[in-house]
Amino acid sequence: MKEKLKVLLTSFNSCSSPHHLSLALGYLKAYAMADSELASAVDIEIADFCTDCNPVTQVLFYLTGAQPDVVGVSCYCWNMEKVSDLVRLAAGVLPKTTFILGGPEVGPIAEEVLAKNDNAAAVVRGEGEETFTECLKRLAAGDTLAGVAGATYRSGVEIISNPDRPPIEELDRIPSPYLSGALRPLDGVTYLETYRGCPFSCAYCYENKGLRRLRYFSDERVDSEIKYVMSHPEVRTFSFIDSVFNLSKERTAKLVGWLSEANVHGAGLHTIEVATEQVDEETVNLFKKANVLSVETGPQAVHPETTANVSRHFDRDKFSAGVRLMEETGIKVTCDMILGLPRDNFFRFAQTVAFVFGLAPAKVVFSTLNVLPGTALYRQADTAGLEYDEKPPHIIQQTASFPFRELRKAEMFAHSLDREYNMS
Amino acid sequence: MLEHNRVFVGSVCSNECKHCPHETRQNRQLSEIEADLSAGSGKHGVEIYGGEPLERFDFSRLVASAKALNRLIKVVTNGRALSRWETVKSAIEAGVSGFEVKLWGANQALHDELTGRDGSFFEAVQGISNARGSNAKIYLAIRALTCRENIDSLADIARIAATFRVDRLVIEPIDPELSLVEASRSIKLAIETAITNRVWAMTERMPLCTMSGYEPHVSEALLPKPEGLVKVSACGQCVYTDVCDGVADASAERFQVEVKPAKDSAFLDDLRAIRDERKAKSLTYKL
Repeated sequence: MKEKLKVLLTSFNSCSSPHHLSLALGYLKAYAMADSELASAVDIEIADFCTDCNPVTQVLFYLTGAQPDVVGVSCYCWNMEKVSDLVRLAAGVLPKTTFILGGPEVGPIAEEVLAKNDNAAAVVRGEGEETFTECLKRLAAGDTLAGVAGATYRSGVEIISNPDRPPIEELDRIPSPYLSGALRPLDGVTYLETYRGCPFSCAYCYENKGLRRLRYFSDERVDSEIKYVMSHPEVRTFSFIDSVFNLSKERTAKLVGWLSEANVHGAGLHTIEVATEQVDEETVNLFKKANVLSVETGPQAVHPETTANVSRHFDRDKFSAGVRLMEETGIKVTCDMILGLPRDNFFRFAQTVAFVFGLAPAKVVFSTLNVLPGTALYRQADTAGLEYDEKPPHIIQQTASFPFRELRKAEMFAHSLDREYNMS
Repeated sequence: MLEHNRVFVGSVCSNECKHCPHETRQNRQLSEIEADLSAGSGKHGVEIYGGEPLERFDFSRLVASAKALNRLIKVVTNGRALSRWETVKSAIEAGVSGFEVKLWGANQALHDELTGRDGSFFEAVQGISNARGSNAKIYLAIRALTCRENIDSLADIARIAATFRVDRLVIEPIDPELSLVEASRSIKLAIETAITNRVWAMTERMPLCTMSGYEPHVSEALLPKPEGLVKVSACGQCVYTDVCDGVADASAERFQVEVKPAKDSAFLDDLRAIRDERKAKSLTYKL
């Protein structure tokens, strides 16, 4: 009997307590194992690591113990440096292991990534489930990745990009990582997804992946996942990774109906992303009914020139009203602000801070702009006068309006405010 | 840029600072302070100052009262009590979220001379070290109180700020006889020293016209307006006239003689926008 292909899916997730678990890896495993032919030919293990807490050597130590034939790595701007180190160091100690990279950090610049990472065999571009599964089928059969749509691969000294693969139209074709058993619901780090894409097209964000439309999981699928997750009493809080939870009032009401019905153990929702401008009293009542504990939202920036330039929708009055409504009803709001957006400067950033602090949200988060591959800013960087670090996480160095020193000062200013504001 | 309700706990203090504004030493009753806490309108929290709040026997009760009404509790202190580890621990456990430690100098001789108390420098520095080393999530700042005697040692205080990785250095001229125009050179050097070491530095009570090239570091350009600032007649000729609150009342006479109004600014519209934002959100507080 032919030995099964040992596949290990891994990622360095962003640091949190408890440690994040990657939903993406759960999707990859669930999709691949739904293929009966492949399921009999491969064993897939998921191993999550933390970018801040786990050194590359520790991960490599684990890999050398597991001795996988294939390692699939989910790559983001925050972990790419470690992924590169892992792949490079693995060449010596795991010479027979095939490394396949995927995720938003590598998909849009696949050829470049392979050129820079000698020991990576392939990059999965775009949505990974179908492409990765097909890659595994080929590898299990001892074939090359020639012709696998959505894959860029190494063939000798050549790097070959196969044609793009269209996104999966019927998302229900992707089995639920939770219902299929690929992931176990755990307190605080369980994430559900009801649709893919984003209704907005902010120039700095890769959430909509260049697609203007949204694709949805079916009502039945979402309802089943909610019921399953909420049937676990140990899951006190969980979250949705939808780019906007309150996409429309009708949809929110539908979700809330399922959530409140399934909530037999009093679980709460944490850190859901909301479009605050769309939050009114009715929405807040729905959030309360769903036991939403905390939300995360913009405004990222408030100066009209800055927001218009990055196609960011921002309505000052509606945003203020939305934050107040949520905070007044006990929903903790985290407001995000980005430093270094084009057209911003130190004082425009300070204006954003003044606006946000005036709303007194529960928490504030400051981030320096990452010029992410695949985004409009990445494509327009040269013409827009953006100088950024080509090395991940692609931190902005300076813009025409925000010179290097002023930007670094703004970072210190933000760090100081973060320490003062978030210390309760 | 936080709006704190500033609550005065009385003027009793373990130091006898040469430039202290308080002529008598009297603590306020806890009930009076609690009334101020209830009446206050701090959007984000409360700032407790004295005198020396940490030396009060009822400090924990005071913090408990403040905590019932506020998310953030910052204590402005001479730092000496923080040299006792138990004080740091109990203050944090009671709910203090930040300390701002006042330094008059970067060495024992200068600091102790200006505080009138031998050993106060070492205790304050030990206090800063204890607070930073507490492993608790707290905000820690150094407030460099600036006068004629210590103006040349501000950069050294910035080095102390860097050594202990404090979250902010605040530079506040407190001596009415200090020339703000002359002081600005030393203050800018201290800011450079701090930010080169990645410690954010801000001034208070320094008008924008004296801080050319360092406008982002001027609190009044960004933060709620403290009362007690006045304009002098030359302010009318300054490009910053509608975005600057002026100088401390006590410094006005001297400043009128030496002031050089600023002629231009690349940031005027943005500074006005911040001021409008503050007005819209009523971001003001009482000094």
